[in-house]
Amino acid sequence: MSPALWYALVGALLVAVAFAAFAAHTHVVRRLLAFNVMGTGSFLILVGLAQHERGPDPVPQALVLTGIVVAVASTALALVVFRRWFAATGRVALPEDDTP
Amino acid sequence: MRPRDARPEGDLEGTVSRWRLAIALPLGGGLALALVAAIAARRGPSIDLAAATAEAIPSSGVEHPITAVLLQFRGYDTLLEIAVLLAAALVALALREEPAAAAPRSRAPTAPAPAVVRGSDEHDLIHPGTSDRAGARAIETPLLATLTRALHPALLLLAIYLLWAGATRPGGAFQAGAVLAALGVLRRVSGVRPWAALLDRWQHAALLVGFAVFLGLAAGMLLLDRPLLGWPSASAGALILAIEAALTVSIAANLVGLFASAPDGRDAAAHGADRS
Repeated sequence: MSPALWYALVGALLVAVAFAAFAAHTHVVRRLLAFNVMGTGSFLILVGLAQHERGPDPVPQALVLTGIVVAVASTALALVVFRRWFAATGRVALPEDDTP
Repeated sequence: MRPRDARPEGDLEGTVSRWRLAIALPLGGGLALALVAAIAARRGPSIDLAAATAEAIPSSGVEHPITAVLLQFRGYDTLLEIAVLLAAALVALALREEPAAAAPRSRAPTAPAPAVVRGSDEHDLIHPGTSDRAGARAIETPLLATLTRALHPALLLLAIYLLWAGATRPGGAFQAGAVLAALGVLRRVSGVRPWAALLDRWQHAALLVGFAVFLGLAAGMLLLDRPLLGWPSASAGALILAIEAALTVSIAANLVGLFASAPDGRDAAAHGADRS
């Protein structure tokens, strides 16, 4: 197994773990963290699979670079919205998830 | 009995209900198996993208393959990316609370003990008196202030170097913009903000310039009877550098704008405590 394939497999594991965490937690910040880990896992799959057997491929690397910037921006926006939501309602979960 | 999620600190212990866990664990396990199976059963790519990119590099105007992909071969992605950044920053700025509304603590007149304790912890380090125009609180320590002053020229130089290096080696607009954004966050946190008035006046222009320059040049190619984003090879290098310079400014401005527009945390905590 090449290291690149190993990256892809670790990425798959990260996606699955983060997905379980996303489903298990209701706190919006925990969900955001899970969502970010899931994104990181998918980046690992994308770059790892592309590099497997062929060596570095600039196209997926550029896509992942773009994806990282978008992920950072959307995370920051989500935090702004969450803080606004918390300031307005005092809640840390969405109404649909209120029942414990 | 107060609702579980109305605590001022938030549900940070992460109490997870049993039935949620009972659903989440099989879902996660199943997804892991499915992904690993998909990776094991994949078929090889039909095109060798790396070779195709390497062939086209000489005509791209830059030498580094990732910069060539970002701004030449797949420029559309990057154009939409800066549009996404701009949209996120605009939404965040629109959601920003007015300093006058965020500043007074009178909305929670009878804040119970937990919020007061939490607030007084912060009082040791954070002084509302050093607030800047947007009502942000700065952390006042001599170390941070000195460090921020000293890092100004270093980070500016590093950003310019990264921008320039993008043509031939790892670097480019995003790395340079991230460094500038780090400088902006430092300025904000430390309260040491040289040229603050000037930069505040140009904030909106800085948010826009990357998308405007990129879109303007990309659409300008249509006037020259070329495809959208179809830089002429002779001037591609200069065009890419100009776009990357504008992108650097915008990426930094957008990231700092997102960082700066989160509502005041202590106010939110006091308000949350008020409800519990």
